[in-house]
Amino acid sequence: MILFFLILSAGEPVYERDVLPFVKQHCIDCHSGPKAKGDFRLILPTSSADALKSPAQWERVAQVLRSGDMPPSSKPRPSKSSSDAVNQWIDEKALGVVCAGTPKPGRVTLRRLNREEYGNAMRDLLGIGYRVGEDLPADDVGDGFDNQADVLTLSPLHLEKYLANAEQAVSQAWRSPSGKRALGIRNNGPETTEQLKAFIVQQTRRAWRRPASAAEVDRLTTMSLNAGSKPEERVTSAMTAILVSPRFLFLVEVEPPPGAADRALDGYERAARLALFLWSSVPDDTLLDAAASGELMRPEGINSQVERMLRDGKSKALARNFTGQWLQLRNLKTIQPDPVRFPGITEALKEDMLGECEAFFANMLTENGPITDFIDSRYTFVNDRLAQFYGYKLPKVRNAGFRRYDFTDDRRGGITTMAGVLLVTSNPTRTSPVKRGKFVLENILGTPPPPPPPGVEELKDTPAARQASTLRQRMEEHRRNPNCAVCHTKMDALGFGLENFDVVGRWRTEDEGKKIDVAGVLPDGKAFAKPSELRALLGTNPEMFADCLARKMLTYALGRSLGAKDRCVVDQLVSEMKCNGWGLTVLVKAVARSESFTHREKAPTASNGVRP
Amino acid sequence: MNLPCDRRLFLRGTGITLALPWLESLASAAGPAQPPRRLVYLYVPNGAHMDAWTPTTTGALPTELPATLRPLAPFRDYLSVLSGLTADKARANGDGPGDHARAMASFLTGRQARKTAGADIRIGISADQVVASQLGRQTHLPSLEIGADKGLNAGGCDSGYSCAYSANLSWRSEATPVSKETDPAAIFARIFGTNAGNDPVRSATRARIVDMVLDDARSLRGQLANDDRLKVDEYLDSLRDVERRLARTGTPANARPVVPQGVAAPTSNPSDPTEALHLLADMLALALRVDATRVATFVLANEGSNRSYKFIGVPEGHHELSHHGKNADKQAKIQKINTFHTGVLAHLLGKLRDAKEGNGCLLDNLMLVYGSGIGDGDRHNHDELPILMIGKGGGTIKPGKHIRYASETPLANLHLSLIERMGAKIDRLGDSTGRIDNLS
Repeated sequence: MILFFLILSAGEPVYERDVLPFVKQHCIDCHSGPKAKGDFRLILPTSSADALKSPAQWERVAQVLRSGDMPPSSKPRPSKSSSDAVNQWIDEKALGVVCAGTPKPGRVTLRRLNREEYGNAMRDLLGIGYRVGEDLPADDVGDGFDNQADVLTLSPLHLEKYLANAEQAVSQAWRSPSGKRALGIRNNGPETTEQLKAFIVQQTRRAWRRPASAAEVDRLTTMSLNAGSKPEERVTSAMTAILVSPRFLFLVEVEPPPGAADRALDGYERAARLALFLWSSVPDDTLLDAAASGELMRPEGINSQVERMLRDGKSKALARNFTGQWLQLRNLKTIQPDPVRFPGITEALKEDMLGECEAFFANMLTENGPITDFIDSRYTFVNDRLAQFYGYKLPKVRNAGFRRYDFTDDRRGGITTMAGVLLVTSNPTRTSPVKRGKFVLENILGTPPPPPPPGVEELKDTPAARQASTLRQRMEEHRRNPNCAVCHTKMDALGFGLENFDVVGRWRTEDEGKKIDVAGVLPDGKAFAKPSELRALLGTNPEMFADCLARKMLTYALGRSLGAKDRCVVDQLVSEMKCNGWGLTVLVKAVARSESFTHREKAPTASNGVRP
Repeated sequence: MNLPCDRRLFLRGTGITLALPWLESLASAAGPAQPPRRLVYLYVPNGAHMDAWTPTTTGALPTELPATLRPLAPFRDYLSVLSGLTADKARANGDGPGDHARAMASFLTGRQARKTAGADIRIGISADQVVASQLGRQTHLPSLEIGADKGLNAGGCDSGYSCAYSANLSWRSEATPVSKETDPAAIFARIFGTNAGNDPVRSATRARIVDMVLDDARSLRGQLANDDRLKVDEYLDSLRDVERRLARTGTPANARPVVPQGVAAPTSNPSDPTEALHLLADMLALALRVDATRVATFVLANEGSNRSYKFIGVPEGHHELSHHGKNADKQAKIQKINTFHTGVLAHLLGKLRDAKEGNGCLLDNLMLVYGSGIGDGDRHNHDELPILMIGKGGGTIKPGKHIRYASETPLANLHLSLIERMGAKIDRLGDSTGRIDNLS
């Protein structure tokens, strides 16, 4: 009995012993009853069996314990070992996350190509020089990205446009030399039934990302033979049908029979996922050949294809689509700073701001640069127009686009000081330290703050109030409310650390005639006096940022939300980066080789119908 | 766009005989011909400054309308102000913050949105889509969804809710929103069809392609997991919808609408924000007057929108301003934005008044609901919603009144009453508890 207890205390955390007393001591005073702080009410049963019935509440507890946001600094701190035990219990018992052995891959719902992916795929398949699909409805965003299967819905409007776009683009392709080349059409095109069949076999393999069955090929052949007697009519009708088929418009992964185990995706399924992840498009012939040969079933085979694909110009899509959404820069399009106070912010300049982040990311992909450069760096990338905006002296080079610029002072470094990020986190007429602080918490530290509790009083923002005190003073007063202070202490400190940058990201030392004070203290007691010191503090814990970035990239690569069980794969990604100099390319390859990317979990049975 | 007043006249003028569904019924129906009723919803975000919205008395509308409603003065005989309606499902009900996402999502569904950032979005069918699914086959388009905003392209939209909730007003089913069309030229093309659709040879090829692909999709469905099948079902439903429209091409009784003389397709998107909204309203009016559809939604800006209205002297962001903290200056600016939006409504109503039908105009047969799922933007309340009702619903509504409903009367009760007036059948919609009274 004693021995048994000792084993327990060393390894397995126990609800009644480790969790219940901890929560009673540190949490329950504030988080119970009708006036629970932060609108968060804990249900605290005495038995672990009942406690296990509310996993969502425990997930939230683990989150605030890990981020250090709770208990608040005004209350006694629990010891590290006691909060570790609570976290472990939550992970292993309440959420069922056990990372020993092979992690669970999870399931992705049938995922539609988004507008971007559709346009790229049409370009690559048809060799046409214009963008197809710009007229499709905007894709809804889930978990910050527009390629998430569950929110990529489809309505009749889509189908009408897929049909019209395919008809138009295919006939364009037929008429242009580059289109004919892309379609592999020589001379007059397929004149015999056999030639037509061969054309269909080749095109379905490329567009549907796997060889079509004989029956599918036959049906397409019959349909296009009936569509007309000329090769043009047959080719265009077959190709149009291929391009409105669900096998093109969706990422199809068929379901194994009930009762089957988790399965490894086959080479073609992996190729299709890789092409969407790295190119936002369909595989090329080389990748399809790698799928056919079995190369993609081996980790080193995946590695070498990833390296090849990143060298291809099409990988610009990763830089553009991932950074544009991770850093929310796509929203620049809808942001309109007050033109009276901030003149000269043209659409072209906003596009350059996005370009800076893309070039920065693309360069790190090429050089396998350390992800810590996102937090702070001694360089950035600018073109002539952006250099002029920032006031940088950039040597003139003819026809040059974005190029590296090495900073001459310590004002800027990393993504938080890029104009695009600063503008997208501002209101039209004033900076928003709250939005900026929230941005850092969400995208660098990976600890998004909970939304404000209801019934919170707004900031005093009358002209008289503005006259009397600075924004900072008014926010400090606002923060005296302990309900707000919990999150805002950290969020505002981070945001005010960026107050040297105005609405559009220009350096400043004064705001409305008052001197700006950026000094702040983070909840753990570390102080900073200027932006560069804040960045240095953010950089002291690269694991935290790596975890955040790995989650964002995995979400993007898979097209689904991450759940508690995905922690195991994320941990693997982080440790792989850590052992390899925090390289960005290391992360991309590790994602492509991960269990989640290369496998599909079996369907949940009725009893455990909770999706990962 | 200048349309002749009497549409039957100009149809005769272009040599097209009466090809309109509601006139068809003229031949068969026993009683006098009734023009069709139309159901339209317009949505504005972030609530309204209610002091300048709600009339101080109930009953007949006051001579002097409240400031925000003043652009609607020319249409006061068609206008009802409905106070006291509540969107209970826009409230937290235990789900925490996210009032904007819930306000939009519950407005036409009366349902609580499942709180999720990405996985498993879930709400419910919307009032307009109930009618479209039952009666949409009578017209070229079952319904038309228009929006001025495409929606955010990145980041979160509201406190852990997917952007799908704050960007979509119409929902075909629990998990499938109906995408809005934001481009005026594309709306025009939807109303009147493209050249391809009118070319019989290409239509035949199209029909063949659609037929084959439908077969293919059905066989694919069998190979997929249950959750994936829902996605293929969305695809199949949509493709059948296209097929249905292809099949009716050429049959005279159901011919697609014909472009009225003097009307041309829009060629570009105006850069001026007022003109851009007016052009979208013009497209909506056009769709209704040629009877391309009888059900439509128009989202003037997505919920939580923080756009700047500098062109009317309000450079601040709308959402930012709506948290006015009772600051009179900010409230005045909010009211300016509200009045700008009712001005867009007035523009639309002007176009519909010009559309003569029966013994009156289209407004006589219209049921248009205009409003927001938030009351006051600062309080984020979901009772006391700003709701206007315009039109006489084919004689079933007697406007010109300010009606105050008992507090907590579900907004969905209004929807239910209008759905019935359209001739569709449904026992309840979301949290509806019955029909609304006093409209007639």
